[in-house]
Amino acid sequence: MIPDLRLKSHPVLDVSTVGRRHVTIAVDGRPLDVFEGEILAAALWANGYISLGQNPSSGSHHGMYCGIGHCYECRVTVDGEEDVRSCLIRVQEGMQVHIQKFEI
Amino acid sequence: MKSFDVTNKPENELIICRCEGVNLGQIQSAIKLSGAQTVNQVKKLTRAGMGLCQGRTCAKAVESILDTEGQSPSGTEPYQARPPVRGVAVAVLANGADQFDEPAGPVSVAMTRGADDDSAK
Amino acid sequence: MKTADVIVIGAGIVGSSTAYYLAKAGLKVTLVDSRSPVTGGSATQACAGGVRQQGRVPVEIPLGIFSIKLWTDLEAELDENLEYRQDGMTVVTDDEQQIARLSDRVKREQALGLDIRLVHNSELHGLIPGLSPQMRVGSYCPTDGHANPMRTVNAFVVAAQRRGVRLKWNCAAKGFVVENNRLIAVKTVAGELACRYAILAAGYWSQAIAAAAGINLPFQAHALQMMVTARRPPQLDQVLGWVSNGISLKQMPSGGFVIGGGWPGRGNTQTYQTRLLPGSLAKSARTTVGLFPSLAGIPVLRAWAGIEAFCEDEMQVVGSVPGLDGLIMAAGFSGHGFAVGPGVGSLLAQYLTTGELSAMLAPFTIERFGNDFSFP
Repeated sequence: MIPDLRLKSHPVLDVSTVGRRHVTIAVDGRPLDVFEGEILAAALWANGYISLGQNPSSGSHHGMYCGIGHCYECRVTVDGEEDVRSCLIRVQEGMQVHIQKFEI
Repeated sequence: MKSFDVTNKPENELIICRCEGVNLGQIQSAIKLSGAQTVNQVKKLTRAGMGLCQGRTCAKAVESILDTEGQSPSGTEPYQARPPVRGVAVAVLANGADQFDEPAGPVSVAMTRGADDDSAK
Repeated sequence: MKTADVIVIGAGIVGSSTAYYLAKAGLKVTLVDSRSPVTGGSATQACAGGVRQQGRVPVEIPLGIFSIKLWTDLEAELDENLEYRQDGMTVVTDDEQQIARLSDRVKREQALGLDIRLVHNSELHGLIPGLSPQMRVGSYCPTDGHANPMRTVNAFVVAAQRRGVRLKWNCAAKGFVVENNRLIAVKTVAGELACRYAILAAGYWSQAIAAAAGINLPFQAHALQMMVTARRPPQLDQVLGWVSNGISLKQMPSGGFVIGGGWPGRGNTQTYQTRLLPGSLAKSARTTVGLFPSLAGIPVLRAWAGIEAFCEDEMQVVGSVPGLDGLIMAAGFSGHGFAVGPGVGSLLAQYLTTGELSAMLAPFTIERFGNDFSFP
């Protein structure tokens, strides 16, 4: 079951999803229903992909951290291109995302 | 840092350089046992600052550790800035090759000659 | 003045290993450096970390073989992880005209006792998956490899210190005090250091120090550029070269690819500052993709350069100076010193304790320049 971590309400921001168009992307081959225009890192987080892999040196998990394209902790492979900062791109219909996995 | 105890791990296992997985204990060793006095020296001995973000995230933390360990002046020598500003794919760099006249080729070293005997003296 | 038996000038790979082996042989040693082993910008600190025997001038092959034997046990000797890998090196070609010359070099090196052979086509590509399919032949030496230069120098320094070597950083050597054609002290910014012997292993900066004693070292400084990529799972265990194309390629234990090859940058020998030529970055990158295509999409994270001394005949100057008893040269390794550093250090220790210079070092003496060594 895919977790839904999306905010349902917020005292200031409008987080309603009414009227927002759906887009389907794939993460490690698994289809994910996300919203058009979302930042990829946010779309992943909302669907429970908080950890985006483990650091080969320390084993620590990495995932979106700075959120502004600075730290590379949100790196994933997108449509074959590796080390893409998911906090800097928006989802596209049919986008193929892979969580980077490797051990040294 | 002393009150931060979410993981319940010993303090010196705290990750300082996320990219390369370098922890506080390793950086302290570089300073106390190996004589590192600047961020660049810590970097060369531990790899902190050598990863994808090239020290953008950990630089301040490393400087702070140097200050705490009594090494001064830590703040006057930042990580040395080098190109590229951000990671650039090898092929993207390669695509620009034809626009440069300089240099014509590598400095002649035995390796690039490789096969021939011109270097025998 | 405290007297050392030996003052080693310069804490790069040659100086630090020499200091260690001298101390191991029981001599009282002081190792000085104008800065320190981790400041950056000089040859060892910027080098590619290649540890190879092949591709050296024939007179250097015995030294290379000897040094690699030391490398094989070096981590145990220094009790430190040097990230030393002895997984082989292959220099490849796709050029028909190079194949015969490559074959001749391999035969010459085999005759000198090196374990090396030509590998072709499917055997070549079986050994190095990921190698560009256009490559046809390679010279494969299974005992070549690579190590981490920073860790290696540091390990030699720490091990030397454990054996009683005195370290003096930020202590630039300026010249020598000579009496009756005999060295009695090294002049430094911190005063005169008395000694019986001095080993000048200060890379390019040896030239100015030697000149102060009236000795000419025919060196030119070149700042050679290097690049490193983001990390990837292990996919290359050998070191790769490509005949007549400037590249050396290896993958480090931490996963990044290190790309060298002798592409020039710019260096200031007074300030140790270097800057990079974008043309060298681009052309080096182009060569890389031609050699190992899967690197095309991997980001280059950083480039750097270090100042290296190139001797006019691209061979190091090692050994005594005629007419100046006590001064020993060990500099000018022209881009190929890292692998032979331990060998040179060990053989210089042997030289100082036995008085006999090994045949493996004989080709490199300063006498080959035919200079007139008459000191006033």
